[in-house]
Amino acid sequence: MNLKAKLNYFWLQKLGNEQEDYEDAFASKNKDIINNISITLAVADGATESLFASIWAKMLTKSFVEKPFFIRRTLQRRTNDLSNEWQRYIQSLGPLPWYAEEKTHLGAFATILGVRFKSKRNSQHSGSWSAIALGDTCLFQIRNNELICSFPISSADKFGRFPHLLSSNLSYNLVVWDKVRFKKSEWRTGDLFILATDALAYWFLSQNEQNKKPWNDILNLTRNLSPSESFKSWVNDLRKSSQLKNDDVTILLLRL
Amino acid sequence: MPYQAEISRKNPSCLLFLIDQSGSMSDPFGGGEPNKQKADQVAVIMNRWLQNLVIKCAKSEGVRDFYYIGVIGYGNSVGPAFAGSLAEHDLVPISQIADSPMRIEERKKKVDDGAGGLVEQSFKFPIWFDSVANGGTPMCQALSKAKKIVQDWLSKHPSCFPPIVINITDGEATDGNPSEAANEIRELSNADGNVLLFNVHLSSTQADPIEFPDSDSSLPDDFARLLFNMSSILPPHIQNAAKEYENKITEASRGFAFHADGVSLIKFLDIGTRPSNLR
Repeated sequence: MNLKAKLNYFWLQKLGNEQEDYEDAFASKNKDIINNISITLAVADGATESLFASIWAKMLTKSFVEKPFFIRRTLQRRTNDLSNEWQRYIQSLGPLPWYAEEKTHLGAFATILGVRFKSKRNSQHSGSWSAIALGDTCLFQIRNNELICSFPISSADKFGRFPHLLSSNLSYNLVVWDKVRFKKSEWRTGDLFILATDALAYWFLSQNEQNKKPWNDILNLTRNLSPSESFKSWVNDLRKSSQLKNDDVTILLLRL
Repeated sequence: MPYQAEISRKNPSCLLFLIDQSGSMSDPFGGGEPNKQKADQVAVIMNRWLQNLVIKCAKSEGVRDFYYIGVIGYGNSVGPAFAGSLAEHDLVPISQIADSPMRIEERKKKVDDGAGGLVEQSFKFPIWFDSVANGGTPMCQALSKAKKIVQDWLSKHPSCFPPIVINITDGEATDGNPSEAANEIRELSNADGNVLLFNVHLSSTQADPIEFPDSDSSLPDDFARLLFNMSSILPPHIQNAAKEYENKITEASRGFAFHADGVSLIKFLDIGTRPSNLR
């Protein structure tokens, strides 16, 4: 793995909401096991129409980067464990109002996108990556100023209003296991990877379909003196011009 | 494009229910168990709508006021139908409704345990309305009252998602033909589109439920046909959302339910990401 790998992350809550209302989550972890270097990233998008979804999204991302998995059965087992952890958290809150009690019975829901980059044993300039995804949080790979991979959604028209999401209520997961997507591919030095939640991912693919190379707009943010402030005004401008749906936005940007 | 306004705490929308509490509602309900009256079913439906709306707007910190809700009863008189602390108000924020049911009943249901079995789970069912049936059916008056409330709301919320008026009735108006008053409501509008009028019809005719039909040809009686024709066509974004849930929706589908509650409409009102697997 190229030691110059650089990670930037940006996030902003939905316009009109407070920071604590932000329900996306992200996590990253670097490992160096005797120079077998890996970088693991995860992004989850908690569903507005569920309760304590941000907690669920945080649990999913943290768990993934701690111990990445790329097998459906491991995802099922891990979801069972995390569901118990989420239930324990809810119980620790004590008695809830009737509506919160009813809604927590339904469970929390979130997307999950996890990806791990590994170096080749004898090279720091190329390697492999593996990803797992459920829902509409996307990963984009850009090489030589071209989008070469869009996962798990390949075009803007494939976004729906009701994505399949991972639930802390296991009974709602029976229909989602065969919707989980997996991907393996290669990276090279100079590649750019962007992980983004749905509002930004939809904008990104729409722009790319018009040959507008949207990654350059995101890269430009990192060149500003205050990237997070630039990101905030950039997102709000896109929202004002109705190019970007008003939703929580999260971007992870990895340059290898 | 109409019906694009985001429903938020800063730009809430309004749902106004009109519930038929006339004497004819004590007649048997044709879509359920034999001893049930139409008035009982009105109360069940009204409580179910409010419960689902509160749950939709509930977040970790409490209930967010995405909607203001009114319930107008019509029978002996026409006016606000909430009791207790909500009484006499034309519209109240959904968070106040959440905090003010008359009572909360404990009920049981069988739910999937996630491993192929069923487990019994108790759940809380809040009650805001019990059945009421007396007097005539002044539906035209109720629609006129609704028009005034909605006009007032629109003057204060010029760019909100347009209000939805939901009339729950057996359709047997005693103060004239309600079509004109219904038309006047549907003609109200703001920057985001026309006010929507939906009708939920509960009759004594024995018949299967029908939800969001696109013509009146399959409806069983004249009252159903009248109410269907008073109902707004579902706006495209609700049609598209309903199609994602596999409902049989066409471009001519109307906000009309016969012997059904129409509560599924709540799923199609957009306040943020709703999971496909949450049915």
